[in-house]
Amino acid sequence: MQRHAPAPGSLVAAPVEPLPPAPPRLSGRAAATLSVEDVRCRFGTKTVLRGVSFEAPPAAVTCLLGPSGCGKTTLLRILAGIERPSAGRVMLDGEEVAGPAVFVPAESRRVGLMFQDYALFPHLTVLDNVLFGLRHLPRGEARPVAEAALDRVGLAGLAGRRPSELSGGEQQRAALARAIAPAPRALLLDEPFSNLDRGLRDDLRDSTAALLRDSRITALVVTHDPDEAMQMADHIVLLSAGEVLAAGRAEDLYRRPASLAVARALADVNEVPGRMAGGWIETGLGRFPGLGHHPDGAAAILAIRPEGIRIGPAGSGRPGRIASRVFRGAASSVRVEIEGLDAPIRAVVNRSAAAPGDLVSVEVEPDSAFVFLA
Amino acid sequence: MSSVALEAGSAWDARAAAPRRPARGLGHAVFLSAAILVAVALIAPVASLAVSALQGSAGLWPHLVAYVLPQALRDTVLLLLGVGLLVLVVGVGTAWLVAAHDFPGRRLVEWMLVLPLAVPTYIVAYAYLDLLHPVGPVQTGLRHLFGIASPRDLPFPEVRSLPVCALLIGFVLYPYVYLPVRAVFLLQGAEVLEAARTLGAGSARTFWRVALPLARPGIAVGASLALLEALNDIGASEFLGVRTLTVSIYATWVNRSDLPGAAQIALLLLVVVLALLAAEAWGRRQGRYVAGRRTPQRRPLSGSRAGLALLACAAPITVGFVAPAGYLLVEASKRVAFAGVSAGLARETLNTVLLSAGATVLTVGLGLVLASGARLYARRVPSLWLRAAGFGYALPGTILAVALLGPLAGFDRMLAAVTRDLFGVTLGLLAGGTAVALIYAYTVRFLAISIGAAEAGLAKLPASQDEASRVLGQGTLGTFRLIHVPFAWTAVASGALLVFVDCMKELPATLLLRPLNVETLATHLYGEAARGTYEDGAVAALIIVLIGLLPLTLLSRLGPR
Repeated sequence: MQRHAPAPGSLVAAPVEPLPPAPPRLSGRAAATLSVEDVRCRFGTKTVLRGVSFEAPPAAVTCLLGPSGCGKTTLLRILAGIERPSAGRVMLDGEEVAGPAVFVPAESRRVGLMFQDYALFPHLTVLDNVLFGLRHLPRGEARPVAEAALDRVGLAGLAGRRPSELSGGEQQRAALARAIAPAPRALLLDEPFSNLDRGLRDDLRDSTAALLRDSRITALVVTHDPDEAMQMADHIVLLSAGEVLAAGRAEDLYRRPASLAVARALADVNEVPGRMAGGWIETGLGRFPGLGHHPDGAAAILAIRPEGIRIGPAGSGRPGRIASRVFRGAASSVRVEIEGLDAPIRAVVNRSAAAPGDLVSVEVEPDSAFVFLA
Repeated sequence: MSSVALEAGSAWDARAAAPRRPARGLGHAVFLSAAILVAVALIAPVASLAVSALQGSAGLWPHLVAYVLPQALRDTVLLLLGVGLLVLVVGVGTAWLVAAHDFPGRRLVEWMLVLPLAVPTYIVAYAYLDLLHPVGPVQTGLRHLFGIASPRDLPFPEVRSLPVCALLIGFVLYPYVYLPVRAVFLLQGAEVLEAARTLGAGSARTFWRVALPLARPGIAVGASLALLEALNDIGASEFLGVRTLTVSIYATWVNRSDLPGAAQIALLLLVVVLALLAAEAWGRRQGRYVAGRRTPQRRPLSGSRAGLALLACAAPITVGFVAPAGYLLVEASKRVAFAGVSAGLARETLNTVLLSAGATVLTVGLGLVLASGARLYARRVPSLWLRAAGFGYALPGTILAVALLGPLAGFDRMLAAVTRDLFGVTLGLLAGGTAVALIYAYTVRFLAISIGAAEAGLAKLPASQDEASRVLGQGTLGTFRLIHVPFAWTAVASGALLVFVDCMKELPATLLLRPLNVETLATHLYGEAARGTYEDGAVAALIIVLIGLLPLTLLSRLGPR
């Protein structure tokens, strides 16, 4: 098994640019591969996880994406060693840490977890919070490590503060410093940006992703936000109702979704009903090539990303009429009514020219259209 | 891969696949042994009580049912209803006034409202019997006011009666409700109350619809503590002629030397206690403290409303503390001026403090370990056994003492036999004859307070804190020491103060279980009162009240502002 560099053709995005000079290691342990094998969990009669398997490659950021209630937080707690799986295995670099015969508890697992509410200890200073995870080191050695971790997140000046004296963003960074300081074999982050306002969230998302990559930590980020997952992740695991829906590179999942559910999970799609005929789908928007194995006459759905709909001046393509328009800054979202379609089509326009009532033409970019059986 | 897993899922059996539990560490052993120790310590007296009750002749029951129980049960229930109503109205009302409103004198009454906690029920009854006596200051003053010459011509209600008893007990026990409810009002945070106000709710509506339902768990806990204390009372009921179950037990035992009969009444008392505990559990169902970020902005009152608020807070302080303590101060200073301080008082004070402090340390330590252990190990199991551990509080002191003498004597006999056989040494009574028995009794009685305080403190700690500590490498003992203890410290300290005061006030158990020739202030007071020498009793009573005040002043500083 590859541990240090992803193999060519693997699902993991290999970093294209050379890494900056490696920052000083917080501690000398290499990032581990985190494997989850058929993990199941149920509480009483409620089944939360129905056999989840995936692999988080070493020194890369994996996002666990799914709507709330899909079991992603439970999975994270199982990986951290807080919760026990009802069945299945969790392996770190081939070492079983949870399985039928083994359960390494959280305190011995060396897996970091950053909590959604940060869970900073309110009675300790920021520095003491970070030192909390370094108690296995002699005090003299622990302090420089803690200070280095705080320096990495830009909180060196606030080491003496209490968590209650920090802003939301500072608390987030303090929690990150506390989680990375002990050099965990894998770092789990539970909705790490959900408590922040939007501008701060974008900043911290970028800096956190950069820090995770620079530190070459195996990171698993839980989120319900597809944009966040696509921005941060080398690798996305889509979770739905306790099962893995799909896993792979963000771009692959976005451009070549294996199912309608996957297409919906990552971004907004227009769904146009149609029927298969000779390998093509016939819809109110026209004929599009489908996959060969779709039988003739079968009901199918054409899924089109809004940005895959080209809106042009009336006359050149299929005629439509702008029904509504929502200004979103750089671009505008429009709804276009098309004859023969029950529901308007959502599209994105850059020009501010399109106004409700305008007659336009509509074209579909074949790359952004996917065919699925209904 | 997940679809394959799903298909396999139909044949999957959770139990067959459940992981083996790993060996647990030192922490588990510590928490488990504390739990077992407490369970044994609690079961022993109850079992002993049952054995004593069974030793009685069956012919005793008809007598009890015909002549003792109806009256005792009626008086007990009426007393509980009266005290319950009073502590709820006074405790919740004053807590809401000081937590949600601001008026001149608010800061002063806010801490003074806990003062009646320093006055035991037997002392308040003792003081008011003199204060309200036909030739006492109140009736004399009224006669002067209305120009009435003879005490017989003043229509004054009978002091030795059940309503007066309920009133006096209620006015010293309401702080049990006031303290937790005020804490909840302050801790539940401004957001909730402000949300209510932005939705158009006025002060009254905010109180009834938002604050009161949120405070329900605190109210249930406080009221049950106060009522259990009222059930335990023997002095006030006896002085004021109310024959409750507790008084009947005491009388049956002391006057008729009928231990099995007393034990049988005690079993009925246990039924009342169980009903109370069930009511408490119902009252705090689904109860969770909602901790807010800020304390609420107090609503300023002015003019007559401010005056009324101040008056409403000053009345219980006056009835429950200022009047009885003032009386004791006057009587005690008269006595000291007349005869000086008796030589034994200093020693008795020291005995009282040492016994109470020893029991407090043990009780609080056990309470914290148990509450923390329940959180660390039994998060999904209802903490039923914690409630069971708190059951000792429901045992009236007299019964606890009687029940403890059996097992302790047995333990002493066993220990004596072992030391004689092994070392050839003859030991006297070790457990029964020393402070061990008394501290044991105090711990059993007051463990509920320390567990409750520790639980309340830990309830405000999110579960993610425990998990963060574990993910960062601390086991359960480390989490206990580094997270639970520092976080719950203030709540535990306030619990410790309550335990200390209660140990010091405890009369019946002390009377029966104290080591030979050791007097405490409470037993001194009792002895004086029994001999009818009221003046010296006032000095001891005043010292009890003063010692009780020391932790209370600290308590008001510790509480949330």
